[in-house]
Amino acid sequence: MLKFFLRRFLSLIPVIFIISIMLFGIFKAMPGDPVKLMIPAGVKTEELRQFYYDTIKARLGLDKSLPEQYVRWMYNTMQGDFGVSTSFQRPVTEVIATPLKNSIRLNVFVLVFSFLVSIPVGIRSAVKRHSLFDSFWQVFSLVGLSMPVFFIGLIFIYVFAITLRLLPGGGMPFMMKGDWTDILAWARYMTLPVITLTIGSLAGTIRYVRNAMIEIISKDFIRTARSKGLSEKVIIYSHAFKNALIPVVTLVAGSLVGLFGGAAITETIFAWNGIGYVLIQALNQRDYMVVLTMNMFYAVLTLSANIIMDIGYALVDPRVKLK
Amino acid sequence: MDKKENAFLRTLASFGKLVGSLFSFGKMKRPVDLLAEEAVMSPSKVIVKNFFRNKLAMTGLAGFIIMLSVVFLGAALNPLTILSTNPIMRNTKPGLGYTNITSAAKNAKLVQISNGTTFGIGLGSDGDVYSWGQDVLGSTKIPSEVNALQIKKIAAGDRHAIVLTTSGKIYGWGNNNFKQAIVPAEIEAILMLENVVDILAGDQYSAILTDKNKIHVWGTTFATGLDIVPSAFQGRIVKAAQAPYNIILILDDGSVGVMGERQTALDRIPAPIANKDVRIVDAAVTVRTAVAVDSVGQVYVWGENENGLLTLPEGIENEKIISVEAGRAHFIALSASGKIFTWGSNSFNQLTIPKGLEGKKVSTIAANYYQTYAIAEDGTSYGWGQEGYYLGTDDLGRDMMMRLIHGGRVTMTVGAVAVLISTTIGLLVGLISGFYGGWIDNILMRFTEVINSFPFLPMAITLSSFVGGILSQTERLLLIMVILGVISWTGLARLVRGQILAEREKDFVLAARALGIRSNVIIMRHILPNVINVVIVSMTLGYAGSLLTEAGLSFLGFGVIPPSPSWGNMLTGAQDSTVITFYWWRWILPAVAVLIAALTVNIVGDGLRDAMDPKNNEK
Repeated sequence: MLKFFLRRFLSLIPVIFIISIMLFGIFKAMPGDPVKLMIPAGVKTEELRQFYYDTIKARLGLDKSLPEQYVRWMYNTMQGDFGVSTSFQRPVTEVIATPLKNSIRLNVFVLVFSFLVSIPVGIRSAVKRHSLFDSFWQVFSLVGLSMPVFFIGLIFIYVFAITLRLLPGGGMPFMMKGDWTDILAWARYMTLPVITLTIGSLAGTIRYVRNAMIEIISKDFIRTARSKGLSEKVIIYSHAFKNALIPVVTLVAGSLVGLFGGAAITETIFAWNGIGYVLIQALNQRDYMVVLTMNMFYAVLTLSANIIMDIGYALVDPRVKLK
Repeated sequence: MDKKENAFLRTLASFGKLVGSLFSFGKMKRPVDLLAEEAVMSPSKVIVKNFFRNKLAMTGLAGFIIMLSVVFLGAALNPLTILSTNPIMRNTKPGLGYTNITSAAKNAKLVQISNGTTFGIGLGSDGDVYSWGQDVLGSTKIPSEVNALQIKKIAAGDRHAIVLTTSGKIYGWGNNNFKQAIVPAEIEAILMLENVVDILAGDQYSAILTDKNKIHVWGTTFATGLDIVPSAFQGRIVKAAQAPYNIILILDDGSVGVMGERQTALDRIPAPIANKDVRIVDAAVTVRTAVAVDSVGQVYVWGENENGLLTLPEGIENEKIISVEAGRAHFIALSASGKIFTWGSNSFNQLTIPKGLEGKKVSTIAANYYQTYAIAEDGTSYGWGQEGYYLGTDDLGRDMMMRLIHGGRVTMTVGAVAVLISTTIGLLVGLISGFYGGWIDNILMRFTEVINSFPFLPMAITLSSFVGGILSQTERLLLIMVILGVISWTGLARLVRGQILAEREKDFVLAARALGIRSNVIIMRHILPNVINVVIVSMTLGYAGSLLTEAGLSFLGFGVIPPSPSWGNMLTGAQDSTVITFYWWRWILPAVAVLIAALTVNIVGDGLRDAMDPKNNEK
């Protein structure tokens, strides 16, 4: 087990290395000279401009060769120094910290709710194939898969925020008092984005669980269990579901990326100061350090999710040996 | 009906055969007798048969084909003039019947008609006001106190209307954002000394003419300076004609004055009028083109030469013209003998005189915006011209239906090309990696892992924002297709690789190898046909996904950027709560279009997958 981890982590190193080179390359190949934008507007004469240009360039280390710049960037990154955001004038880590917290706060609920609904529903649909229940959720997931997430969000805003005036249509809770009313405030602001994201993710997860379950139910050992005279409940929840868990693990690991990665579209619609929202803002303001760091962060997140997935497989399926 | 359906099914079946033969990759087709065909069927035929038996999948396919043809044929037949914005028609709700005069109004024998952008009001011979057309900001909702009074004159602006009662009072309703529908206090004060003789309503402004031959304007006058009446004219005005930025004044000596925006083409008043050789009795203005008629019935036009407005219609010189009216881009003139002449732009059929009116003597004419009205001498009234927008307009007054059609073309094309690109890459990488194995496989799979670890949406947003403003619209579109394609192939590559790994070990590949067939031939002729089913399903479902991705990207402003429409960017302005609340057609319609397109494609994809799954064939 430990050996597997080590090996898996070691195999990550070249991948991360390649990703960092690619990302660095993309950001360097971008059009536009950020240094030119940083020269104060008041500087008029050509010589002074050149002086400023050179000074800023040297300060940012942009006068060095590309490989040198890359090494310096990687070195800083590994030490946890992600550079300074040009639009916020603060270190990138500071800029990202709060939105990351907000995104996680939102997505924990989404993850919990979507699994609370999708696993039982998926199992029931698979067991009672072609029943009314199954048909309903099949239609639901088909429509859900085809529904643009902003449409779901806009409908909720229209119904709950504008027509019924029950919940805020967007934004973040403010004026925290530090008592129990805070929880209420958070709940009010989080309800609509959480429901929107949950519906968006339900469609896929229900299908996934259902398909995994159907696959298992048609296996021979289920038939054997039935012929032994086991109760249907035991068969489904003890025999079938355990096996259906394997693909579900993939799903959970995949959702981890969403958990930390935020949801750019939903966060934009609900003006939720999450990490996806910050990405959009940073891009609009050409704040490349933030964007670069976030893309790197996403990549590392995905890779870690893959490892977690492998471990998860081993945990739920004793046949899988970690080699 | 049955026969028709059968024929339809047969066509579909033959289409299915065509699809099937495409996927059987050049296999020799031997004629088989009927019994044998039942017994032995190639897998691709089974798939096609299964698919065409699935009613839901067929509905989805039909829906998708209908959508595709509407979008592409519609776009081909109605070329989009991207920049054809028309702010005056902004946020107009879907609906027709702008010129449908209600029967109550028709029965009342209208004596005067005036119209706004989407509605019309008429004054009956009984002194009551009637309204028709599409309501916009309450423009057709006549206040009850007006109904109780005797009305003398009516005037409709773009989205508001004012009326003058026989007792000299003014009432207004409709859009009041610049207080154009209510008389301001300072003008109320003037009315203590002067009596109103005529009223005027234009684009968000209203005006009155008083018995002291003065004009007073209120509403939005800041940009045009319409409230500043030149002292040379004030006190000499006998009649006025409104335009969006100007008012043309007919003075007591029969000459013409222009007020409002300065130094426009409207200042080029023809010499006979400027020299006071003729006495002008009526005038009308479109936007920058004016028409006037003198006391002997001669017509003069001047101003901007657009839409053929400066070209008088044939036969008008033989008639004594008594009255002229103007819309946004057309003129109508009425002769003393009751004949009417129209000229200018006919984009909304505003020049096409209705059949019922032909041969009748006309007593009164009215025109504004894109509609024309005429009242015959027998009291019947007719309206024609712009009837409305089936699906409303957006914030710049562009027809939503046209934009949906053209946006659909863009969205559907972007999605399709992106999927083609991603399928090509995914298939190639998967094939090579699966078949050759070893270090090639290792490198390709590492590469796949790298690409796969970039999160999809953030990466797509990042890449498309970088190429941002430096490219033309078409280049940008192409680039978005490439970006979407280039970052979404990894799943398919893995899928294909897995399939190939399974197929590679099979005996027929061994046999092919033993026969000395080159490996690229083995891949193309022997292995590829076996994995193509998976690829087709993944392509279909991927297409639905990339429709949604394009919509999401454009919605955020990183995909297709305006003025090129796409279903996604039509929704960009829709985050505003005003839009969500009042202009539902602006966000529901494009979103529903994306939903339907993605839904039909997903249904087809599901149907294909079910058809290919041998387990499903058992039932």
